[in-house]
Amino acid sequence: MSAESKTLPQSNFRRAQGSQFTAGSKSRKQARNRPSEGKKSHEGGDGVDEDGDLCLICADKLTYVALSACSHKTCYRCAFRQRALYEKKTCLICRTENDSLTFTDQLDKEFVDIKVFTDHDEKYGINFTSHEIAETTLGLLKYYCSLCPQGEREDFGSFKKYNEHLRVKHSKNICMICASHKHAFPTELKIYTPNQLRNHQSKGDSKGFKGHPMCAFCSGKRFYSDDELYLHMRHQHEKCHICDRIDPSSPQYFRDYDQLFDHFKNCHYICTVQTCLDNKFVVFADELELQAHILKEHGDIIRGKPRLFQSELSTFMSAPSRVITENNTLNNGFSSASSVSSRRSSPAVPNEGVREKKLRLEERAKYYLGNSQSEFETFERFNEDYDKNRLSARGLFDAYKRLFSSPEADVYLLVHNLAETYSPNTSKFKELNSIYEAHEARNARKNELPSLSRDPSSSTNIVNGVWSANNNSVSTSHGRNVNTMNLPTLKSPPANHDPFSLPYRTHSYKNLSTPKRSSPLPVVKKAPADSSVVVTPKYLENRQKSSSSSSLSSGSANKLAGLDLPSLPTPKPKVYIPPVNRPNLPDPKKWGQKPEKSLDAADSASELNTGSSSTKKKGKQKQLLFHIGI
Amino acid sequence: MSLKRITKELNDLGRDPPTSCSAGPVGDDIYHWQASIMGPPDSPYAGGVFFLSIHFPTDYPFKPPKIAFTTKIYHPNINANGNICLDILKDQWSPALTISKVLLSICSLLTDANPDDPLVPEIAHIYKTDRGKYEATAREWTKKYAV
Repeated sequence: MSAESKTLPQSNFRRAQGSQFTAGSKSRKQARNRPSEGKKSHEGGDGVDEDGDLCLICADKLTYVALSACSHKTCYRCAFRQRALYEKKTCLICRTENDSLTFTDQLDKEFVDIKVFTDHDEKYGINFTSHEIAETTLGLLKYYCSLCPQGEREDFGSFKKYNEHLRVKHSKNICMICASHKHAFPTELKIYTPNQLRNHQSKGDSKGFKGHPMCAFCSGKRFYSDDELYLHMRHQHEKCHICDRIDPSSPQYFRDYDQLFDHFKNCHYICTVQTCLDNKFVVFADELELQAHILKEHGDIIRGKPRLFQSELSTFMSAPSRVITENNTLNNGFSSASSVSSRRSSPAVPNEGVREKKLRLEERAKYYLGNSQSEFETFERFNEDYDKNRLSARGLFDAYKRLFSSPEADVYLLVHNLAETYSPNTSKFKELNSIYEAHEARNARKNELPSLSRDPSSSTNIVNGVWSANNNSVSTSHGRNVNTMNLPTLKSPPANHDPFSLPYRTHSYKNLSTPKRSSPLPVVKKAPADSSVVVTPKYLENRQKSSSSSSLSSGSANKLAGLDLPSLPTPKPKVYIPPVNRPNLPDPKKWGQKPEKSLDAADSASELNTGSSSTKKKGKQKQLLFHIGI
Repeated sequence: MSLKRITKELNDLGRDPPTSCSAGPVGDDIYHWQASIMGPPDSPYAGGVFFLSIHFPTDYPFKPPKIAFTTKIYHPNINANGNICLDILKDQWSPALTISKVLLSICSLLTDANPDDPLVPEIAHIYKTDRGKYEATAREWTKKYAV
């Protein structure tokens, strides 16, 4: 019996599922001669009658059905739950608004077939074909105590009174959180002893339910589910939007704005101007953003008392690690999308785990084989043979080729997935991966895509090509374009930065060769991160072409420069000094005498690039010329 | 109520699996499933196998299941956490929808993104202004995370 009931409902469900598409179908012959039998078992219907239709919504066996004008059929419980508890008149299946429904035990009838009713409920808009159905349906809403003897049950009228009765008379409870949110009929709620109730609320007492979550700030306050808790957190407490932007997966909440403000002060960069403090939430992820804000909004304040402001700023250097990551993303010029990728790429791939890799292999194979069980077993046998060394990598590959005959099947991806299930330094991984890599390389050549990660010489050629082609007008945006076009073929994070530095530098060479001395001021005024890059080539101006091409070929030095530049915090003072005390600017003697004291980003960059002190000196003199020129 | 319905869906999936996706419980918790979607051949996600996690609320099917990608994917309607912006998973949910149908909807979302109702505005912007770049990035992410 039980075995039967396990298999049969499946087919019934299948049919029930189909019925929504063939809405008006009259082909339910099985249901015809059975209503009297069904009535007895309207509570559960677990295998009582295998022949009946199942409710599309709850998968219970249909006893009384609810028929709608849109020709959909559900069990009376689901339909009544929707009307009475969810207070919606929309059809559960097609979302049509229906003013009235027909509740009947004639399972094979359609809505339009039934014209004679015995009862009508005005409130819920339901017509009943018998008193019994009306009684059963409306009885679902009654607050009867199931612990009292059959004859003495009374309707308490509300969950509160019902709970009170349970507590006084039986020393038991229902869960009032469930009562108000679960959309359950009173008799569906479990009755608990106080201990059971505690267990229910804190840990959960049934499958799929892990207890009602509690707010960490409001002592003891529990919510029906995470959704309700989330709403509460959003309305009653504060979330740090900066942290949220940096890592959206673990939101940080605070009891109120005071706590949040403390967090802002400790971890981020707040604007300390009184109006901004009053406005609240004027806080930035890094110093650059704060400076931009200050320059934009409080320009007059800085001009008045620059010293004071600068000292205030210096107190906010509290979260260096975060500042660096944010600086990097800023320099990249992309907002969230690419920065997210660069931040998450490295941990995401290795963490995936062998289990998931194996699953990926299996899912792919199943898909290619069209879910054929026997072929999938063959596939697994191949893998086992290979694992036990009864089959060589080449042999396995050929076996795959024979097995996966469908046109969309990519045998190489399967080999790749199989390789990933072995650890990277085993010979099996290497030989499988070499098959995949060889194919990839062939593909890459075919598509004439620059494969940066594998073939560095060709990649630099491409960058060179673009660079020399646009001799006069290499704009920033263009540099970015080149960059992103190249990104896709990159493998490792450090390599990501490699081509990156190239277009930027070439761009600055170009820019500077034309304007030269005519406009030195804008150069100084530029944002700190940029200024370091912009200044660099001036030292090399004379030997521009030769040195740049040499730096291109000496990739490693360049990589270092590219990586180190963004994280240098020093250019900050440069932004402030020029506009405020211009007369002090010509400090050529100082510069010339002790170059190591002015730890400029530009200096260190040029050191890295050229490594010769003579060029540095030359550069200094040029700088000097500029300032006198002002 | 939900248990019975979820069991039914599971049986149905096992008996008649959809072609390009699959789903089943993780361990013995029938309220927590893992699903996989094959990247549609006519999309930049072709060749990728994407995994999703499915959590059924106890009020299922009156409340929608919570579905999120666990494999990283570059898509205007799917964010870095894998959350999916899809109306049928929110206010347009119908209790008659099944996991199988929802997964098919997600498949078609992969083929036809909805940049006018984006979850990640930056990707939506690129999608609308530079389709080639969007496809190249999506392909690259697919290759990196889903192959």
